[in-house]
Amino acid sequence: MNQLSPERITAILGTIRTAEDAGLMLDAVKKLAEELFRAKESVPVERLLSSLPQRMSYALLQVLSQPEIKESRQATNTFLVSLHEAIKNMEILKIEIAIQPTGETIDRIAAWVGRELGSQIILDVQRDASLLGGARLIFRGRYKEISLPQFIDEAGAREKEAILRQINKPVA
Amino acid sequence: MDITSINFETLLSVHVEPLLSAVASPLGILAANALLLTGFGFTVFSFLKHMHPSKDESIELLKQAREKESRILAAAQDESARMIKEAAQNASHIVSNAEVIVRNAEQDMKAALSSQLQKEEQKLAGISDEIMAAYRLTLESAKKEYDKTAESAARGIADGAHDAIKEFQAFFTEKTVQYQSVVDQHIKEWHAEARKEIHDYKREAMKKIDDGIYQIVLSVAKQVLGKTISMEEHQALIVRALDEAKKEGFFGL
Repeated sequence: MNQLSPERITAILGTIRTAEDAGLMLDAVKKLAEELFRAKESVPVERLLSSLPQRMSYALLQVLSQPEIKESRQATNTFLVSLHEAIKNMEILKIEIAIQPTGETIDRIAAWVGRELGSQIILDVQRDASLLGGARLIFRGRYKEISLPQFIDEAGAREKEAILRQINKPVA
Repeated sequence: MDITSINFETLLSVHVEPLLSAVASPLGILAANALLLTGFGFTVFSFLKHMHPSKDESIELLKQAREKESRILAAAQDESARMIKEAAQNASHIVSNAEVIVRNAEQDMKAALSSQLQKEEQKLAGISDEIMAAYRLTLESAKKEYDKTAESAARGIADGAHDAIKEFQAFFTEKTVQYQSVVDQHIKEWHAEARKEIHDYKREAMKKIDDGIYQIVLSVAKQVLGKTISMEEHQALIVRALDEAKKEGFFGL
């Protein structure tokens, strides 16, 4: 059996951005594993991966289409087990933000996380309007808030004298 | 000396009675009898020793002598009894007299004592009167002296009081001036302190107002900024938060 390159697993993990993505990928891996040993006529892989976002299914198909995987059930199974295990081992970064987390926003956050922290982290993005701006972070049991009110407080502290002068300025 | 001429009564009156009268007691009487018998024996012995009569005469003389001796003895016994009786009577009489004398002496003593007491009482009464008179005199003198002293003291006190009042007035005036000065100084200090406190309080109040306004400004700014910033700006703030967290080592990777 050919040894599976870790970069292929990493490439797939890089497409998993959120906890929801991770759930979808795990379901897909499970279906693939079930289909692998089915005696009857097999279901096309594309159909099995139809529930996944395109980027995820594409990355997965790229690996599955590799000859050493495609021609060996055992290698395929080994790959699926390794992928399942790698997804299970991913760490969750919970982020609370002031706005509704759109795909674009999540993409931007995920891009930063992938670039700065690596592909082993998935996001759990929630909304908290009281933040007004910025983010509240929870990771490995630790907590940190860097929000708009804090930014304003810091800016206000720096500019307090100027603000007060402006406040106390006699009305012309 | 002839034995027959010996007068025993004389002998007794010369030798024994003085002794009996000296000792008028039973012991004295017995002693007198013993002396009498001794004297008599001595006389007979002297007589027999100087005389040398014949046998018959001697016998007759002896017989006579014995008879005489018996008579003398009887007489001596009678005399002794009489003397004893007389001595007893004398003793009884003396005792009676002594009792009378004692009684009389007691009465005399009592009378004398009573008289003396009376005299002493009179004397004491006289002395008491004198003492009372002297006491009255002394009392009057003392009273006069006391009145004089009291008057003098009262005058002194009045003068002293007057002086003291003057001194007190001077003291009071001086202290009042001093106190007024101290009070003025305290009032000045209090005014300065009050002014400072008011100033501090005003400054503190102004600071609180400024802070309040500042907080309101910040709050308004937050609300306004939170509602007005764009999606792009929100995303930029999120990325900034992530950058700062990483910079602070929050992720520990």
